[in-house]
Amino acid sequence: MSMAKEHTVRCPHCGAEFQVPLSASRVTCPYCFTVFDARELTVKEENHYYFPLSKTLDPFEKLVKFISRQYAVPIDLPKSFTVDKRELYWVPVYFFFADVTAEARGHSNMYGEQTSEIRETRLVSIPASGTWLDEILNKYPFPVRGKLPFNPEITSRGLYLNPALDGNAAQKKVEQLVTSKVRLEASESFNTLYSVKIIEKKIENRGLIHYPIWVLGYNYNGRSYQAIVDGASGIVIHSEYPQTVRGRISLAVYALLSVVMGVAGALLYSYLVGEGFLALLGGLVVGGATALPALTRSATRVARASEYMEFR
Amino acid sequence: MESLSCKRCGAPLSVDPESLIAVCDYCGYPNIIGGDFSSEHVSIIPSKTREVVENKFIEVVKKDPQLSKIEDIEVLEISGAYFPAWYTTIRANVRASWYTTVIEERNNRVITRRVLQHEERTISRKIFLPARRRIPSEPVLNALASYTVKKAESISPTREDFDWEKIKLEFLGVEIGRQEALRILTDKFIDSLREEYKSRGEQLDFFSASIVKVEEPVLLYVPVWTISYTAHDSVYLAVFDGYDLTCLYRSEPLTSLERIAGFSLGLALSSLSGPIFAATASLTGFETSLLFLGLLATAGYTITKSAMASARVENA
Repeated sequence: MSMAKEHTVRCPHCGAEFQVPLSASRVTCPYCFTVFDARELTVKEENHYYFPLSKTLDPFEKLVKFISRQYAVPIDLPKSFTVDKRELYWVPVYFFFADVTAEARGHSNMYGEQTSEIRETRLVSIPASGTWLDEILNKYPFPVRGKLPFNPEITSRGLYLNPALDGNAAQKKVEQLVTSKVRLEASESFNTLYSVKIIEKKIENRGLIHYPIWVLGYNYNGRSYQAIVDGASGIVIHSEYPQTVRGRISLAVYALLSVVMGVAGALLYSYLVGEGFLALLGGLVVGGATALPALTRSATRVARASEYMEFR
Repeated sequence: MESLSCKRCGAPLSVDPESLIAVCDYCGYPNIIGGDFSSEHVSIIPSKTREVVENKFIEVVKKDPQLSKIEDIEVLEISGAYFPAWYTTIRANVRASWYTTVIEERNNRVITRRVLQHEERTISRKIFLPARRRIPSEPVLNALASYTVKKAESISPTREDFDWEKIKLEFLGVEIGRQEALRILTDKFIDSLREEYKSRGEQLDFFSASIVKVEEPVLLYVPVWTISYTAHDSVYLAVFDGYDLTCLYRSEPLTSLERIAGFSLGLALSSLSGPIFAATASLTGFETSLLFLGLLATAGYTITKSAMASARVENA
């Protein structure tokens, strides 16, 4: 590092001193990972970041390549759909570090009256767009690529959603979530729980991230379908697609057949061996369970699929 | 404008303030940025190169009975990255008691009895935590988890005589610091112990764990490669561990023949399960045969689901 001009800065959060290049304005403390202003030595009130949009991704191309491999999807769909909607949303998500310690007192039949320390420490994310997108993002594991310090230029591309919750409201939500987890853990740890007293509570706002999400709509044979694609990684988070009549009928036939086969097997067994009731019960239960997923799929014209759920 | 330069070759470095490690564009050396950051507890699992990973994928395709029959397989994108995770060994003293139900026969009568069991012991375990805010996808998580048991030759980022030129992988930023990681790891450890004791019986009577010792955590960078490929104009994924080339996850096209095979299996199972249930009931008793029935029903449900799925998924 001999060629670089450096100076020593002191982290405003943990007090550690370390060298940074003179040209750096925002630096990350290597000890506590706080991002701060290297000149003013202050932690930004609210760290604001964004995930960069993939430059090479064509969300529709990706969507069609994913949908085309679904069961009972029309073969001509990739060629004969029309684009209804292609909107980019920047969705706000808060991140918190929560660390709550409680003292629980209760009774155990084995050990008598006891006190025990219960702790809950974790990072919590709260999608805060105030729209239906929050629900979908709540379950979605945000992927790899690194986040960048917020750049106002992104607001010119796509719809920039301001957080519907402010930092304090989000913090209250996190507090509720974590304390209810502590209470649950406490009640599980005793035969009879007498009391839970929170003795230490630290909930820190670690910043706001804007995440790029494509909301897509397409039309096929006069009907419209929706899809959501991750703008940074191209993963299909949610999609709707039509099922062919042939596909649906074959699923219904399969469902019916599996119940019929269950009954037929049972009747044959009772004719040869006896035990008719038990055999019929077994055949109906397993035949029904085998038919169930096919029956529910055949009953819907629009099927749903998501790429990240395949990981589970 | 002044800038940092690579410690090994002196070339200028482009530095992302979020990252702890900046990879030199020219020689691939991972420079720890941020001055005197201690490299003592940072380790890197060496990765195979992009070409080797791609060759491994081609080999997997050739060996796979289904994939080898598809002619239009094309690799769309290969991307690799170093995922940071904290690893430590924690030891705790556990005191727990729980209820179980015991069924026994007394004077020709079957009775059930609730029994209070207890255990006091010291448990030590190696655990890990991804050093990023959001949990990565399941295959990546499995790759990170495997290094709690896997013996891998990790290298220190201060080693300049390593073949860094060949790797040049992006080091994903560390978002969970050492102190926070220790707190979260301890909590995770105690929570998993509580769950284990909970599952030993019907109800916990008492559970308490106190931490005796926590080892200095190590920040390990694990290389994971993702290959997206197309077959019959549809897109699929394969995930590899960059160190030993284990295929952690693979989605593959399901042919219509395979779907038909799945559906036939479902029908065969339906027709056989009545007789199986009746036969086990008369041989082993009604209660055991109910367990059998549950298993058969789950199998039937799963067979139909996977026959309708959009891809066949194979996990390591």
